[in-house]
Amino acid sequence: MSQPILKVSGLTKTFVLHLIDGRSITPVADLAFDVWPAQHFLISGRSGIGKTSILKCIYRSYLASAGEIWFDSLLAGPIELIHADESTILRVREREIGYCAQFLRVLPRIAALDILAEPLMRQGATRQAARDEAAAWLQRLGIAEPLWHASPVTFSGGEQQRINLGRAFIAAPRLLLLDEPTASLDGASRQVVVQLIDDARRRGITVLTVSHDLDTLLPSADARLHLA
Amino acid sequence: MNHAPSWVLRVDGLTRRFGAGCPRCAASVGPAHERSQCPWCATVHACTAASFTLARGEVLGIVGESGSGKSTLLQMLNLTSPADAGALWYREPADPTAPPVDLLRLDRYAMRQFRNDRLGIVHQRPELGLEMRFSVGGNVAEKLLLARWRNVGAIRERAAGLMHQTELPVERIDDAPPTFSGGMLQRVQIARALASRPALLLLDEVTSGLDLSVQARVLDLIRRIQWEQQVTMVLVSHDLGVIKQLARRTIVMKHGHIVEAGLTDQILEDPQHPYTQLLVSSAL
Repeated sequence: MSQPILKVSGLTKTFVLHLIDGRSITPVADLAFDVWPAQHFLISGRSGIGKTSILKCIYRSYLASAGEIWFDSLLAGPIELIHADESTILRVREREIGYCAQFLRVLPRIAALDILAEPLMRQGATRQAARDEAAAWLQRLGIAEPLWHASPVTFSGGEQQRINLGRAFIAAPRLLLLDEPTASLDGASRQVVVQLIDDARRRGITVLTVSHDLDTLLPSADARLHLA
Repeated sequence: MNHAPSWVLRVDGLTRRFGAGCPRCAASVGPAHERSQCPWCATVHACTAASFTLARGEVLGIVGESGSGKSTLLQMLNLTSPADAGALWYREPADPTAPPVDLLRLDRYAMRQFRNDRLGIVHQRPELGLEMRFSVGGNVAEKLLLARWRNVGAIRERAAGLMHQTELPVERIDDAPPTFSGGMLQRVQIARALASRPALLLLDEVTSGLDLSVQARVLDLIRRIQWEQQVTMVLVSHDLGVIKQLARRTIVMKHGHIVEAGLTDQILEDPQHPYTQLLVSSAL
């Protein structure tokens, strides 16, 4: 373990709201932290303090306003994610950085099985192999078999969240960003999340979580950054 | 160090105007002036200095309101509208070692041949992309003939295969386009566009005017084709929902200029330009 897999320094995110008199909001200011390989790094803090903004800046769904985010890519070497070109970001997203949003967003006509199979097919798996592995994951996540061929938009909130997590974990990225992964889950399902994170780390996957559910997630975290 | 996968298309300062222009044009048109027509000489600056690159298998979305220049840009990419300035560099994906070619510098014959062999386009209005007097099979066959296919049996077999691939009833291969529904006609256009296995597929408002369920089927078909064949695509739409489904990168145009470019999720979740913020906030 010679260097961090993710090195964040001076990270600042300001939203300029042009439609509301150019007003600006800065949820993240001059933030710095390092995440090491196979670590579970937890960022905690109250709602609205900018936790999700940090993850989205790393994933580049948000454009950071200042600072640097270095990712140690196996595909492309060290990349500064804020300024990397878009094609590089897309390649890295496909193979190395996964993101699990707080809520599942999918097309309402794609079956749960295919939603989980898609990331594997993007990585080159055949449709059959991807669907076989997706089925194993759905079983593990406790999704009843009759639901596998239905769209998750009809599922309960907890089931949707498990599909959301399954889609993120199945791709086995080197760095996995989880946004409130235990939200909408019951006690047993929250423990499944902890197991998924522990298993992922054993496979060498680095997990960066933002959450305020410290009771569930803090015991499995190696490092914590609390935003106040 | 550039880690990007090698590009197929590099658009460099592509410009198209209608009119002679005048010394005051530059200071009078563009997004900052809220117009693309020069008030002094009436020249319309339809597209000014558009630049971007496209890697193999990427889908680029172009959004903007009517008159923003997105269709003009697409027509220049299709080599059917001349450019007043700029370059359109193409690198053959099958041979990445081959030197890039500026398509705008090709002679007329080579340009037409390139369009027939390596480009496919699907128009918003089927009558622009199809010959309505020919049969559906004839429309696909025409594209193959232009790409120098000569064996009649092979042409018919390919046409039938493309109809099957685009979910059209193969038994209607000899029927004329006016007997097909709007959604089916878009699929006929897609079949025709794919006939010569193009390196670049251009899609101009392909689902506008279709019922929602028909729209979904056409978008699913395009998604599947892109997935299976890794076709590089440029998709023009004013519908952010369509862009979100298909494009992973997006450029936003206004008054002939690209005002913002980025990953599609970033454009939708964290738009930077005032116009993009307005566009995103106006989505249904």
